[in-house]
Amino acid sequence: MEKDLIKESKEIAEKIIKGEFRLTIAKYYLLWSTFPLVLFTLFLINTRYPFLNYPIALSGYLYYNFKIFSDFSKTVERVNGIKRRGKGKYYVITALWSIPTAMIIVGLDFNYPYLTLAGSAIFGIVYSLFAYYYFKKSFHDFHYYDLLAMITLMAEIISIGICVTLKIPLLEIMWVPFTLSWIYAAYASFMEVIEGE
Amino acid sequence: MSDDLKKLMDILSDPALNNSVRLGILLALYGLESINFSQLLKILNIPKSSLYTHLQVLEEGGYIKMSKKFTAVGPRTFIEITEKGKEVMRQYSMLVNKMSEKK
Repeated sequence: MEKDLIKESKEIAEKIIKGEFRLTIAKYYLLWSTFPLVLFTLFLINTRYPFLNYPIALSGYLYYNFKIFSDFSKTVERVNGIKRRGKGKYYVITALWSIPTAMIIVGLDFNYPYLTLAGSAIFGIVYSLFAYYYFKKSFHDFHYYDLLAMITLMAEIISIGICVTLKIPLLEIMWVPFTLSWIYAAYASFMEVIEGE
Repeated sequence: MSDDLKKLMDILSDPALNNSVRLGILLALYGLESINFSQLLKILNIPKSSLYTHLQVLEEGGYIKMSKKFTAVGPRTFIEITEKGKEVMRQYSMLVNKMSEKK
């Protein structure tokens, strides 16, 4: 009987944590949906040192991004009773995100189109692996709006690479489907777990 | 019976924790610290009165604390784990993990 109680209670706790994970994802979608707008505003304000705009915007967004996922990861570790691993894992994760991001920024700011293209490709692969790991392996919770968000981000990353390499002036327009789909994904994710009292 | 199993049985013999929904909520709160009522209701998909009863039992046992707070979307009931709740879940998690490692 106790065995059933322990097993069932763990399933219920995981269901609640899964809901919290969706809320974390909703915040993540909402946060990044504002990125293009913030970036364009920065480019309007800071015309003197435009090469600093990408790093300024990204450092703030990445900080908050790591914070929300790190908070969630701590929650899961406490519920599952997993001891925190060494810092090595976090250094690898940070490097996996930072290196391609830096390649894209340097490529865009200093006009090295192939560096941007390579950075975009690596970023896309890393993002796909992380998304697969989080959604499928951990929570079996993958919705059409997650797929939509994933596709528009990948399309955005690919289009950055192509537009910069072939010098096509469509970079600003390419942010529109990304922003709209991420706002929608944030809304749909919030609606999954939030309702009136 | 081993000492660990006896301790685990002691924890589970508390009427407030001898139910999978209540134990599950407390275990989740051990990780989350707090959650709001409407969110919990939507996630668990059980009747409102039933959830409220479970939470009342946990509150009477001193494991959680419920309070009304004003948020941007109107007043919401928040459920927070107490120090007593955290301590019992810390012991519970440790015992369950120890026993599963032995298997």
